Amino acid sequence: MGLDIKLPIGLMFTIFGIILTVYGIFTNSDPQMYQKSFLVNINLWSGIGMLIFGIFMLALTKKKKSEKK
Amino acid sequence: MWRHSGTAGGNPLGVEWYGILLGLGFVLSFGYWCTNFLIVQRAMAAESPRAARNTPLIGAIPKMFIPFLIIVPGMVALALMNNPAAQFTIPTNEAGQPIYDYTIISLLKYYLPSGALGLGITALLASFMSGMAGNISAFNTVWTYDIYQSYIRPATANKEADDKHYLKVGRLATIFGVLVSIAAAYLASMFGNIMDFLQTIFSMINAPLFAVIFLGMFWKRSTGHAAFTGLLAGFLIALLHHGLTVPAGATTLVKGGWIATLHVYPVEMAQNFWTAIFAFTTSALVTVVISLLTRRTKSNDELVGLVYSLTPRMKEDHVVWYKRSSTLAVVVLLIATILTILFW
Repeated sequence: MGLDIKLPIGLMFTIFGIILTVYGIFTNSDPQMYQKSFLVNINLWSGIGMLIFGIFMLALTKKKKSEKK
Repeated sequence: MWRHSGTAGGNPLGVEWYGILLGLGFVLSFGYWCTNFLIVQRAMAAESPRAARNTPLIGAIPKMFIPFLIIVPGMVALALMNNPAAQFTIPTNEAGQPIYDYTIISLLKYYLPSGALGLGITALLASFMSGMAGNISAFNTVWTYDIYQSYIRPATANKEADDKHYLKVGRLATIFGVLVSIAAAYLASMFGNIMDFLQTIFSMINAPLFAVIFLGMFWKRSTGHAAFTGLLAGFLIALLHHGLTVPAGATTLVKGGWIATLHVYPVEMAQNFWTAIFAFTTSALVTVVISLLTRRTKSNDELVGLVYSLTPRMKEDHVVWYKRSSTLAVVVLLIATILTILFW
C-alpha cells in the first residue's frame, strides 16, 4: 500500500524544524523578542526538537524501504 | 474521580457511580468507539485485519492523555489570572466575566514570541481542519454509499454515468455537511462547553445505534425490521427524556425541558448519561421483542463475517508476542487502570 505516513510526518516536522531553528538563531541576539517567554529562545529549542523528531521519522521511512529491497 | 461518586450530589458531574458506569462507561464509550464512523472508517481502511484491530487501541492511547491537554492549560491559566504579577488576562464579556473560550488563544498570545506563535496557531487550525474533514468525509460517504445508493437511486447498468452521478451527489453532500457543521457550531455555543454538547448528541444518536449494532453483531436472530424500529424507538425515547428533564439552571430550551419538567438534574452531564441509558435500554428491548415477532430472513451462511458467533476467529499465533493486538490491548488497559487509580 502506497504512502507511508511517516514520510509526510517526517517531511513536515523537518521543514518546520529548519524554519524555526534558523529563525531562532537569527533572532537570538534580540532579548526584546523573548521577553514574553522569560528569555528562553523558544523558537530555537522547539525548532531543534521538531528537527530531531522529523529526521527520526525520515530515518524510519528509509529503514523500512531498505528492508523491503 | 470516583472517590466522591457515592451520591449524585457529592461530585461535580452530578451522577452516582452506577450512572457513570452504565451511561458513560458502557453506552456512550462503546457507542463512540464502535459506531462512530470517523473511527470505523479508519479501521476499514487498514491494510490487514490485524491493523484494523489495532486501530481503536492505538487511538485510545492519545485519547487517555487528552484530559491533561485540556485541564492543565486551563489550570495554568486560572492560576495566572489570580496572580497579578503575571499580568495575564483573558478577554471578558459585557458582564465582566472572563470568556473561557479564549483561554488557549490568550496563553499562546501572552507567552509565545513570533515564530513559535505561528506554529501554535497552525497546529490549532490543522486540528480543527482535520476533525472537520474527517467528519465531513464520513458524512458524505455514509450518505452517498449507504443511503443514496442503497435506497434512493440504486446503481444502473451504465457504470460510468453512475460514478459521475454519485460523485456529484457526494460533492453536494460535502457542501451540505459544511453548512450543517456551521449551524451546529452556533448551536454548540449555547452550551456551557463543547463536551456537554457532544454528549447530548451522542446520547441521542450513538446510544440507540450502539444497542442495535451490539445485538446485530452478537445475536444472529436479530432482524432488519427490528433493528430499524429499535433505532427509532431509542431515538424517540432519548428525545422524550431530553424534553421532560432539565439540568439545573438551564436558560435555553436546547438543553432540555421543552415538553415539561418532570425531573431536574444537577448538571448537563447527568442528564446526558441518563438519556443514553434510557435510549440504549429502550432500543435494545424493542429490537429483541420485534426480532422475536418477525421472521428471520437471512440464513446462517449469509451472516458469516457479520455475526460474531458465526465468524471464524482470527488467529494471532504466527505473530511475535509483542506485535499482537492482545498485547497492545493489555498495555492500554494497564495504562488506563494506572491513570484511574492515580486520579481516584
